[in-house]
Amino acid sequence: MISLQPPAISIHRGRLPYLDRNEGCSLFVYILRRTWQTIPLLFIISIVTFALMTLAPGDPIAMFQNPEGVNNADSLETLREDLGLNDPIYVQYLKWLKLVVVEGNMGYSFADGRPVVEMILERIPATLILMGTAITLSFLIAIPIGIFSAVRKYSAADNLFTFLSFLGISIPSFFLALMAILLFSLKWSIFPVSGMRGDHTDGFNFFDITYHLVLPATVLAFGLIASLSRFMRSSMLEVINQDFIRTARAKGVSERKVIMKHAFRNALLPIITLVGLQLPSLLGGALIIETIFAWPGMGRLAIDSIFNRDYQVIMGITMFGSLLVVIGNLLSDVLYAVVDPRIQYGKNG
Amino acid sequence: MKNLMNRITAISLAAVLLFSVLGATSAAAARKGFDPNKVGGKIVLTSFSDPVIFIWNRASDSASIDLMGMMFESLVKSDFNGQPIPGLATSWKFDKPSLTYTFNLRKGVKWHDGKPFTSKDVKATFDMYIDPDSVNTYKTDYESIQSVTIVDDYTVKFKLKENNVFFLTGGPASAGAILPAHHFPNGVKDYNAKNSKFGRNPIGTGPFKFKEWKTAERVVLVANKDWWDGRPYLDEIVTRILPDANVEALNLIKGDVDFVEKLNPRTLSEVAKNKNLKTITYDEGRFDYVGWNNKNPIFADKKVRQAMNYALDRQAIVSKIYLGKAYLGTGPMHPTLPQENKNVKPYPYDLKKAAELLDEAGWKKGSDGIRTKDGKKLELEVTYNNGNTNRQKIAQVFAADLKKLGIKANVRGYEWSLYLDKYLKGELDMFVLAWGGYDGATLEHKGFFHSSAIPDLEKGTAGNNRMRVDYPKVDKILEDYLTEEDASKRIKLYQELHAFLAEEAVAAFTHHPKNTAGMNKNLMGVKISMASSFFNIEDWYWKK
Repeated sequence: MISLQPPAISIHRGRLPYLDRNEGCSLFVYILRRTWQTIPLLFIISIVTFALMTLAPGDPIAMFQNPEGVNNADSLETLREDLGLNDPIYVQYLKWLKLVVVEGNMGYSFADGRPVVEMILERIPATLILMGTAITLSFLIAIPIGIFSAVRKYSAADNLFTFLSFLGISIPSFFLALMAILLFSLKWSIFPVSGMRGDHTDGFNFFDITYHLVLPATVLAFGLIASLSRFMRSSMLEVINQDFIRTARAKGVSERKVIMKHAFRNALLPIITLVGLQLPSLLGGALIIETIFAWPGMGRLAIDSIFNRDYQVIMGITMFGSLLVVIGNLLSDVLYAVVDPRIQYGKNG
Repeated sequence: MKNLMNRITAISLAAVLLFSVLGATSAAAARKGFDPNKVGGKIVLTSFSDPVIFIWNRASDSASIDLMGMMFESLVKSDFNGQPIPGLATSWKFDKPSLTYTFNLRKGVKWHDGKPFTSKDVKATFDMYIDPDSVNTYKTDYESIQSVTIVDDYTVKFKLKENNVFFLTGGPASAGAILPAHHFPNGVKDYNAKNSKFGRNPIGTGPFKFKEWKTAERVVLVANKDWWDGRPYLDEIVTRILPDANVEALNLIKGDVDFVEKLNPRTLSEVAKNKNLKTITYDEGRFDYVGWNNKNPIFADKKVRQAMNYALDRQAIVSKIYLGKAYLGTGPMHPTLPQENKNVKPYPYDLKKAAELLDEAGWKKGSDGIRTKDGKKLELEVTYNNGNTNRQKIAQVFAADLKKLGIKANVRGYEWSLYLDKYLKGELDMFVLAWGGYDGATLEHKGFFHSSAIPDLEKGTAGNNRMRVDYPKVDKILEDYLTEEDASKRIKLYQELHAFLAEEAVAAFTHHPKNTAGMNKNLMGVKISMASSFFNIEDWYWKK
């Protein structure tokens, strides 16, 4: 069995400080410690975001004016005073911090005075459904493609996948989205043009939502499939050329078992890291997809609030997004332990 | 129904009396020409974004205002031409010596929750609008009101501080939608409330009742079968939130959406080809312009301003960018309105003349082909707001011509909020913009051209005269227009203003766009007034 232990491979570089198996902490303590570390991190993010946001040109009051210059509002000064925009920036920040820390409240939208928490919570399910489906879908498709391409390197099929993935990476998602709508909704009338639910359905109606989900989730997954399958291919190739694989083959292990057990598990490790790292960019991609498909998620809330300079909502979303990324990274580290037998949080090495 | 909106009117006292007589006689029963066979069906509309809040005068976005216009009503409504007709008030009279309007309210009107509508609601509403603490964004429109008093359950008196000849149409009587007093027990505190329940569950008296609002998905209204003017024909109005204009058009073509208020010229051809759709072209009370800061030393010279007007190819804008769907611009009055001075012709496209004027103004071409004066090169940035492709094209067309004249012209797009901020501060060289929201009765430009509306950055006042037009003569006309009671004299005043602004070339007025709405070919009864696309929504119906 000793011969089957893979050597420390290079793809783990850069993650070791968090994953030092010699520290001997339990998984629970590890998670606790990581959670504790996020507090100063989130604090710094909040200061930086607030500073950038308020220093950027533009004015929240502008949202009360119509882009066509029509129906302009008066009394904007009163409004500015009411919203506390005349305070110095640090006072505005401290007021916001007080709201969050003392009252456990993320503030109120400048636009309609609703609590930011309520606005975000209302949007989260839609975004999670869309992103979750897209991630799952892309993994389910990209990983087999990656393995196949690596095993049949330079075959016709591999070349085809290479071509397709370059296409997938280079086609802008908004274009793909519009083309998908043109073909599947307009021409063939298979899927709805946009929205998450029919006009008369409410709450979580599985079939209705799935029906509306197909196009946006596929389009969102498309780019991810393209890049993930490339990653999987190169990661797989790297592992296949390792000594322990040769050993396994020499030992007479069936090719299928060599690929699926020895090579695949090791090649999957860096891909799991990608889940965590992909979260922010996927959130970004979801903005566009949500806008085109009129999907009622967080992305649109983010875009609207940024254009409107709705500071409180921007802060709420940034903090929430940061939290999501932190959790995503933590999750991928924990998943690591599950997949990689060498990483154990519970025992001393 | 933007006719409830912020606007000032020009209606003579004689017409007011005439309409009040008509109002008294036609108050009862269902509306004229009601046909029970037309009843039924739902319609799907679109909006680029969610409404902000359903509290009147707290939102200034079109989604909120359009939908509230279907659910709420004011004392006086506007007809197709913007003239006052009875709304929640059946008749009214004005006593000039005491500056008092007396309104007789419609009896038997019920709020959507079943409670009766009375004078208490009217008083409570206006008390909230004029309260010093009120977050009413249009507060200045209500400044002429001193107090509102209840005479009896169906009579209210408005005491004014000064005569307001626009009180009935653009002014408070038509712009102030009545809110239910019983949902605002603490008055202005409830009106200003941050997380207002009413703001997302409105109760009005209008032809449609609120049903549901799913954020970022849809807003649903249903017919108010007990409406005092007879029920609307449609059973239900669904407004889908579709943030992308292409997708909006695709939905229309697929038949998932029944009505789109404004099609852009490109999608228009697709819609026109479709056998299941039809279009209506309508005028909108607005003017588009390429403006500049008139206090900018370069533009302080009238010759330079006129040269800019000669250098602008208006015809190309109308025929190439708007594909013919626009009027040539000569000034801030819409060409279909009487206030437009027919003798004012658009500046012709004449680069030679423009070059002469620039030479006369002292901007001579240097050895590098760039015009220079006192050692300063003539360099101008033509700006627009990002995402508005028509404005971008106008900026490009214009900049190309300026370059031919030896002006170093650059085109630049700004993000909207940033654009407005720079516009306010007078930092943009030239900007492609529009202004409007008026019809014949409500056209009024004091807020846009009066010297008092020039933003004062030191005092922090943000007026809308951001082109910084500053002439005593213009101020005088704008003021007289607001107090002159004779309608024909008022029209003369604005015709004079039109001629003056054109001669002084305070801006390069480009065009007035004609809008095209696209809809299902079986959707009938749609009329679009200059003030609102949903002007007669209660009369829309499906052909059976």
